[in-house]
Amino acid sequence: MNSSRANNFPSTYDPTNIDSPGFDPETYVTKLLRESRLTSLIEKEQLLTKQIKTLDNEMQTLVYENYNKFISATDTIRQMKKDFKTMEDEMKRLMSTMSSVNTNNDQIHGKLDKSRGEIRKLTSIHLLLHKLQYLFQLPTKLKEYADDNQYELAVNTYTKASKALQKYEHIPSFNHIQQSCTETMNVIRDELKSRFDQQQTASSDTVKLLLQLGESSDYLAKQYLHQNRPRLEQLLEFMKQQLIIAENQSNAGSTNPLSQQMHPMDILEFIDTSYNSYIKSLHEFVESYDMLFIRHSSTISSSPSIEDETKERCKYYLEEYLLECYSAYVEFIRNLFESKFYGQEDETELYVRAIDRFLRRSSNDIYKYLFTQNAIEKIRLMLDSFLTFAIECRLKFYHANLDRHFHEQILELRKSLTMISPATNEQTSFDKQQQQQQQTQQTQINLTTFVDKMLKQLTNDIKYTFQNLSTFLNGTEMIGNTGKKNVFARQFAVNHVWNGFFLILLNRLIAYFEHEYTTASSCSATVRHEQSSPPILLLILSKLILNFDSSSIPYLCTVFEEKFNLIIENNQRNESQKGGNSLSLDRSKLTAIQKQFNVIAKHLLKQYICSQGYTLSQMLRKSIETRDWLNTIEPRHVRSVMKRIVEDLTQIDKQVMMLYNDHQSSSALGSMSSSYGRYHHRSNLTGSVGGGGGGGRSSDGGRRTIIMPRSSALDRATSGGPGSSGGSASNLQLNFHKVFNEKLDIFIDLQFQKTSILSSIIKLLLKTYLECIRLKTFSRYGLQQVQVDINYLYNYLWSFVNNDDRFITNLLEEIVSSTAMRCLDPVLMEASVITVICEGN
Amino acid sequence: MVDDDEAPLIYGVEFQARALCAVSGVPDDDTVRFLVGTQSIKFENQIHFLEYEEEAGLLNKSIYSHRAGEIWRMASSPTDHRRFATIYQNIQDSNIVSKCTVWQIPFDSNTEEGNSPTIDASTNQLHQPLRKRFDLNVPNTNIIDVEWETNGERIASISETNIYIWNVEQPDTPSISSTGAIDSKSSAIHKLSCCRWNPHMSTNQLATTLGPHIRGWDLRSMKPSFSIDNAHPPCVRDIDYNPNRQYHLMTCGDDCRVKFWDVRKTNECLKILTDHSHWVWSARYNRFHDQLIVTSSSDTRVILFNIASLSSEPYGSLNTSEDVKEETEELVNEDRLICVFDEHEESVYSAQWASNDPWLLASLSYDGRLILNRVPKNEKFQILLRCPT
Repeated sequence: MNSSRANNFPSTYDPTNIDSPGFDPETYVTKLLRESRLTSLIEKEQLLTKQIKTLDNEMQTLVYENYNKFISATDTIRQMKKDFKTMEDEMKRLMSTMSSVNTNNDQIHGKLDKSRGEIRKLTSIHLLLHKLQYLFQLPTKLKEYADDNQYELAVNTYTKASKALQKYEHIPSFNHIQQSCTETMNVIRDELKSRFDQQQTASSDTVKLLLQLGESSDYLAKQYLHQNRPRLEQLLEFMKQQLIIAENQSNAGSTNPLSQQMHPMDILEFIDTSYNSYIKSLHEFVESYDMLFIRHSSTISSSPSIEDETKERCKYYLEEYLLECYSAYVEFIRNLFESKFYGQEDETELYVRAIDRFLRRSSNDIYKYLFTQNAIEKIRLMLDSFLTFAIECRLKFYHANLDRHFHEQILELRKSLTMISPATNEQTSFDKQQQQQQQTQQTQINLTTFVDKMLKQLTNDIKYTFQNLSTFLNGTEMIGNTGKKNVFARQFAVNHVWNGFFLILLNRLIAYFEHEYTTASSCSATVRHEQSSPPILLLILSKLILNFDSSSIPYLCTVFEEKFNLIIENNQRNESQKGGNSLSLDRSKLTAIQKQFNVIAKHLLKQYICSQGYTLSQMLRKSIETRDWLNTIEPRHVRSVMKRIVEDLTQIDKQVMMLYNDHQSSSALGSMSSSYGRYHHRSNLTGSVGGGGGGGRSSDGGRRTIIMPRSSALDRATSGGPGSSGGSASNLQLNFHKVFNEKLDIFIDLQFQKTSILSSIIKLLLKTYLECIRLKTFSRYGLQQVQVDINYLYNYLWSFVNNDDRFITNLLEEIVSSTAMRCLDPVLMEASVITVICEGN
Repeated sequence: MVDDDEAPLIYGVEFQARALCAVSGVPDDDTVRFLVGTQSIKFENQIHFLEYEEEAGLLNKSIYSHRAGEIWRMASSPTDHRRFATIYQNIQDSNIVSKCTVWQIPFDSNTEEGNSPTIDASTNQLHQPLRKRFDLNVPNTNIIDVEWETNGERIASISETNIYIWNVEQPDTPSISSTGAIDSKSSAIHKLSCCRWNPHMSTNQLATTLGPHIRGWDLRSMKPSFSIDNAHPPCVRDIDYNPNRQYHLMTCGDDCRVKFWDVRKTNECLKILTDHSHWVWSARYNRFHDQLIVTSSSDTRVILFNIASLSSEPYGSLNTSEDVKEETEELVNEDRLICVFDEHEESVYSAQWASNDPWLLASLSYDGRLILNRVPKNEKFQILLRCPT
């Protein structure tokens, strides 16, 4: 079969394959019949029969074997059934024996239990008896202890027993014991308390005992704190004493050289020692307090929440106390910094280090003992405010210093001016001319040096102060508590140095000048002596202010920028862009102040002009008012007052020239002078006359225009009597020229220039002349005298004002015209005669 | 803002002039009148009687000749608008003589004013002369200033050293009722130059200037009542009493300042105005609103101030609400310069308020230009309504 299978197709469903499941005997047979030969068919048949036979055999053996096995299995099961039955019987027997054992056991137990209980009872009674004995002995023991002052032992024993006593309090005998115990303990407590209360300095032991006795910790803590206060205060008091001593010594030091031997400590040392003694003892105390009230666990059992609460309260008391102590101490330190001796410490570095030391130490130490954020915040605030206070003290000190220097200088200046001015002002005779010359020379030198010296000193003072203040930032770590160094530096620079020092200083200067030297503040109710400050001083000061404004302030700004690493910005806008923390500073305030400086300088200058103009005018005015112009002789001389005026003007010119010259605006003036071509040729002479001063005063009358009254005025004065109808016409003519002349304004665009100043003075003078003339009536010779005087003035005045003498001509013409109008018999003097008279003098 | 009616009215006098006064004494009339006196040595001096017609904006003038001399000062009678006093100078034996006379305008100007322009146009000579009422002269003394008492019963005049009080109740027969003299020590140095009646204290007080000082006189005893020393060195030019606050007065002078004083406390002044750049020649309180002050100066400017802080009128109003009131107070409280009238080309020696119009003022400069100005409208309303515009 295998072979056929191997030979035939491997297909499984081959119906011809005898071994395949799809075998179909019909097809197989038909196929065989169809394909095979007879022989092979026979062979096949034989083979098949043989195969069938073997297969049958095999099947028979298999069935047999299985049958045998089944038979043996039934046998085994039957055997097992038999065995189980015997086992069950045995088990039943075991159970009965076990239960009998159990009952026996129970019986034994019951018998033994009684005796065991008795033994236990006996032992407990024994223990109780022991305790009772202890308790009964307790009162006497405690008393003994109390009598022996062994309070600690007593307290300890009591605390041990008290619990039991409390428990059995309802039993009368125990209650009695407890009462007697508490009595003794109360005695002890009272004793301790009185001791505690009486003691100046409470010992921590006593407090501990009292605490154990259940004294309220609140009270004790308060008391404890309270009792420690005097000790601390004593320390503080002692330091204060030291401070006072130091102060006294510093006061006496100047007079008594001996006291210098025991030189008081410097500020740093003082801070150190005071800190050591005070804060150290404070801290020691805090330590003990901490042990007593906060770290110990209460022996008296109470709910943990209550305990925590009391601890919290104790902490709170401590903090309060610490805050108080610290504020007292800081107050003292404040006093120290404010004090005359230490506050005036010249060494800024030392001062700064002292502040630094104090702040650093206290900020390091204090945080150890403070528990709540609140208290730390408070202390920090205190320290911060102290820092600002110390800085402010310093600023005040610098302010005072600068003020003193400045006032000293002004006093000095005044003194030196009074030495000069009488000499220069009292010159009348010509003999002294030479001497006067020298004097003015001296004044000239002095004036500029005065200004320079004062300016230098002031600038240096401020610069030095900047420098000193910058030490606040260098090499100190006091900013430790503020944390952010940059922020502090900026705040310091902006708030304290810039706003608090520099701007305030400038404002004070302004206020000073305004108050002292100008009468511009119209609200001033009191009548002041307006001549109190000499005019030269005004001039010098105005120059000083001007220079300070123009040179010192920018310089100081750069110094400030360098020292404090800030940039002074021109406008606010930039700063806002950069943000608040940028290194820039707004300049607008400074600009405003600078403007004020300029205004003040101008005010002072005005004041100067007024006072000089006033003195000159007074001279002129007296000379006109006292003279009888109706009855005067024919003029032969220039009146001496005119000469005097010219002399004084020359002197003023020199004064002013020293401080204000026209260089910066010479170009502007040049263009002006060219526009007035009429007088242009005179500019050549400026040098010779102006430079030559008093000695070189020669009249240039020959080439000069002679000032004559305006023709209209003369017409009017001379022409006809009441009958003439020319009145209104001439009036028109008289006023006609005014249309083309600008109005006289004395202070119009006053500039910081010699010409401007001088022309203002001259304007004032001539205006006075004019007004005085109008109040008088003149005869012919009176008019002529005025003519002579005016022309004399004319010859000199223009030299003071460079080339711009248009207004002088106008005013002089106006004066002569007015005189002619006020003249009864207006006959003018010949121009040539005027020239001769003017030159003749 | 300048309205048309606020534009100044300018009137020219053909001669130089210093004397200007407002005419009062016509109670039932609201025509504003001023008198101007000329100062000329050569020509016949004139008195210009000016009437301002507010509606037409016209200034009617009548000119009268003042032959006695050049006029330095004038004072109009408070009771009779036709009467006024002049201080005038003329030359006698090459000496200046200064006199005082009370004049009367010869006819009622209202009826005859139409004639005056024709007379004026034809010839200068035909100005009608003034009618002289009486002289107020004392032999051998120069009268410097004259001032009527507010009720017109008395006239004060001063010479350089003396004060004369004239009783003029009897028509045309003046008599000196009392005289006073400054002590010889101060008269050697300074002269009296200006006098002014105190409108308060039953007009028994007269203030005079004495060089840089001010002296007050009690007219009952003719003794000095108060003195302010060195009020305006070197010379005080004018005094005016506050019409409503009896102890306040205002002075001005050659130190270019205007000062306010309380005569009970003469060692310090209440306020100083420093806006003028030359001598201040006159300073006048407005009779109706005493915070308004006009000053004139030889710097050619006339300045109008509002000095509310020293005014008798209270700040703020009672019927305005709180916030408005505060604003008002801020505004009114502030003393300030209202405006500068700079139309003059010459020194302005006199500026006067109109006697019956609280908002009109006249100023006269040396070249004969008279300018009528008004208080700016918003200022006027502020004062009237007491609220900010």
